[in-house]
Amino acid sequence: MDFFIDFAFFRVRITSDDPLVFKRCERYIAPVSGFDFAACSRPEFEKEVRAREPDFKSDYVEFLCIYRDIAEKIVDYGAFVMHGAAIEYGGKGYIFTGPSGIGKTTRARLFAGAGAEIVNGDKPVLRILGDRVYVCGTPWAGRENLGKPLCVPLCGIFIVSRADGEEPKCEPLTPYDAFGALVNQVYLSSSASGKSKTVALLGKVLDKVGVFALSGAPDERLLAAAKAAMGEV
Amino acid sequence: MKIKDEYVLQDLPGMAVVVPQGDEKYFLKLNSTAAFIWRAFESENDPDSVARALAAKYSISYERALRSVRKTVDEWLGSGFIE
Repeated sequence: MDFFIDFAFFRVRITSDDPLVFKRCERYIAPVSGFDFAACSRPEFEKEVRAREPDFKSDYVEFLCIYRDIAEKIVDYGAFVMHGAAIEYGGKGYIFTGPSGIGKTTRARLFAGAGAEIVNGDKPVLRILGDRVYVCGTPWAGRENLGKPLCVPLCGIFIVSRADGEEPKCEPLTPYDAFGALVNQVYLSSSASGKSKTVALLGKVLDKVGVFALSGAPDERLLAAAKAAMGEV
Repeated sequence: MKIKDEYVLQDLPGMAVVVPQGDEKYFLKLNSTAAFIWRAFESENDPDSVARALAAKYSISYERALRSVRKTVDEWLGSGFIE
């Protein structure tokens, strides 16, 4: 069946008969009307996901493959997917990014305890509209499904590293230094033109949004260090 | 000596990045001097000519420019960006 969802200022037609897909998209359902593009799972995507994640159930694989289709298409609209946990704090958006298992969601939860909303716990969409970059919630919010249908101006990106036991640090990075770490955390199209468009969009984001290296255990001291950086952005 | 077709230099604000056109996921960041050398090799295959162009661009001696070009080329040959 077909249904429509709104996220990141897009309206997308989803084609899927999978109940899990509809359930995960429920909070994003839009009235039936014109849409920006259509998305569905594709056999070639499913083959790749199954090879990478053999334990995933087929309905969750289909759900992920629909996002893959979306990720391929949104670069044409000035948007891309970043692996990370996004929060809204004081009306501003921030992303904690870094390798899997580093504690992105833990940092987002630390801020949630201080009054932040989790926008997306796994793969938010970043969209450039005019001079602003927005970070947006989507139905694809990780296995824990942490997130909300929110879009907020992106004001900072934190690249997380552990260094537990050391004094927490939050240091600004130049776009040149940040690029290498961030390009590994964005969805890159399999096509050369899609990849090039995503790299160009990432360059624009780095030109507009502050990036910080955030290290240390997720405690009050880290929260204070990150908040101080937020005051600077 | 030429840059392999599967690598394309892309300008971003404050930097240039070599974007692999295939499945490879390594992106090479270049400063302005290295980006100049890369662009020179897109249309020129002689290190001496590139060194002369670099010397003229940055008002440095030919010898210094040639050392810089040779060092850069050695790195790119080792990494497989040029052949």
